[in-house]
Amino acid sequence: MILVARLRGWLIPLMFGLCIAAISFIWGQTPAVLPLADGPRQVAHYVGAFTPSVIGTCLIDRFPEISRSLPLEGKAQRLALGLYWFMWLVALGPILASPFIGTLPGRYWLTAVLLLSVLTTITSTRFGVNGLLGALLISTIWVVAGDTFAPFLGFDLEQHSPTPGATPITLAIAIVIAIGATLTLCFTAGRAHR
Amino acid sequence: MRQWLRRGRIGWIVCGTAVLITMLRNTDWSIGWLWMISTINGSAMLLSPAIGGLVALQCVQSWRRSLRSSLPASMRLRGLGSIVLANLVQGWSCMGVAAVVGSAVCLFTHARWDVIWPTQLVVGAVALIPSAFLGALAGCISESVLTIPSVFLALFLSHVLLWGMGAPQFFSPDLPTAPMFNFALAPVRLHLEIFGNLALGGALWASLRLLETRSQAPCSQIRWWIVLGVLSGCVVAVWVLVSRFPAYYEFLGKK
Repeated sequence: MILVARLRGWLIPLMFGLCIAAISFIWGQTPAVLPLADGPRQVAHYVGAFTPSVIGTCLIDRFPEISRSLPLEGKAQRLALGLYWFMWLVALGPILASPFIGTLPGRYWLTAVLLLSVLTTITSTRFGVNGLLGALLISTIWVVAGDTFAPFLGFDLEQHSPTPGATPITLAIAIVIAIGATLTLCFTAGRAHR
Repeated sequence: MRQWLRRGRIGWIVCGTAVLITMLRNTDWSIGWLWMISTINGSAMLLSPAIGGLVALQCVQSWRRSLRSSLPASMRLRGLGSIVLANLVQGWSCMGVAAVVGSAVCLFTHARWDVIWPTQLVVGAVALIPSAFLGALAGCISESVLTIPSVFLALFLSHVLLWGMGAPQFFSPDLPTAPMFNFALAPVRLHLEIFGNLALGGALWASLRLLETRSQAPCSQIRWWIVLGVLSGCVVAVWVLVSRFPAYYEFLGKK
């Protein structure tokens, strides 16, 4: 019964992930004007901001009252984390494979999306739906005011050169943070049970 | 309602963050009162999806079908009304605090008084009403966790889509932020959009009422079907009329 409920909880985000992949593939680079935003926006910005939260629903503990007493809870949480990053790759794959990633705005996009994804994994696994809602709000703030935050991450978006210079360091740090957070969550997943 | 306010502590954090971020993005409040008020109204862009998501969250988490089905219809509706009101109070309180701080800054800096219509003060707050009812309706129809991000996204994207279509700004208004770009608002369109948001909120409440009392005799529901029909007609009328009136009519800089 619990297995069926859990599989249902994973199946719908999986379907959403495939739909997002199709949107990224067809309209990824299409401009999408956002009133009050601080810069030009593409569909990729919306997809990047909201994909972590939508597929992050598979990380939410569906049985918070009894999950600590379930014998396979740790494994299920690790599987959900693996599924989350797999769906993340599938959904954002078309954008990651596009020439957009080679540009400065593309690298900033990837850094920000990685950080938002890490935030979503932590908040969804630790705080459930409340955490997911918080992550959604932060993603929305990034869509509206992302260009304002760029200098804090070391990206100068006003620089028009297509290939960035010193920014790969920030991107590498974001990747390390994503891997580190995921591994930490994996190792601590079953601890409550033990 | 107090119980829902206590249960929804996350609401204070979310609404406070939404208003704070909007205010911090536009800190130069001393330009004028209208500019300051438009900044607060602009926070509806973040508050509207947040409140829709919060109401859906409380319906999905704490007001489940199994609990509702054991209560009489009047209690069910009162509970839903309390959830919606508690979340609206959270959003309005955060906007109110921002307005007090903004007013203090404007008074202190002797900012230009350029507010023309008193209704300009409430256009953002009114836009939250249909969002809250939409969240309640979605939360009552589906108990999946995905309802929460779906409502949030739908309300946020409605801002983009309605703006792109030139349609009235239901749910999250772009119109009141026009003074931030040195434009004044056209009064007819401003009032039409306020009325449209109120009518949409009422229509969603009527839908919620019909959904929750669907097991009752059809004759007892006729009144609410009529209310739903009339209010939906008002929403359509606003949609049609809005395109005939300009949104902005004057460049404030030329005053």
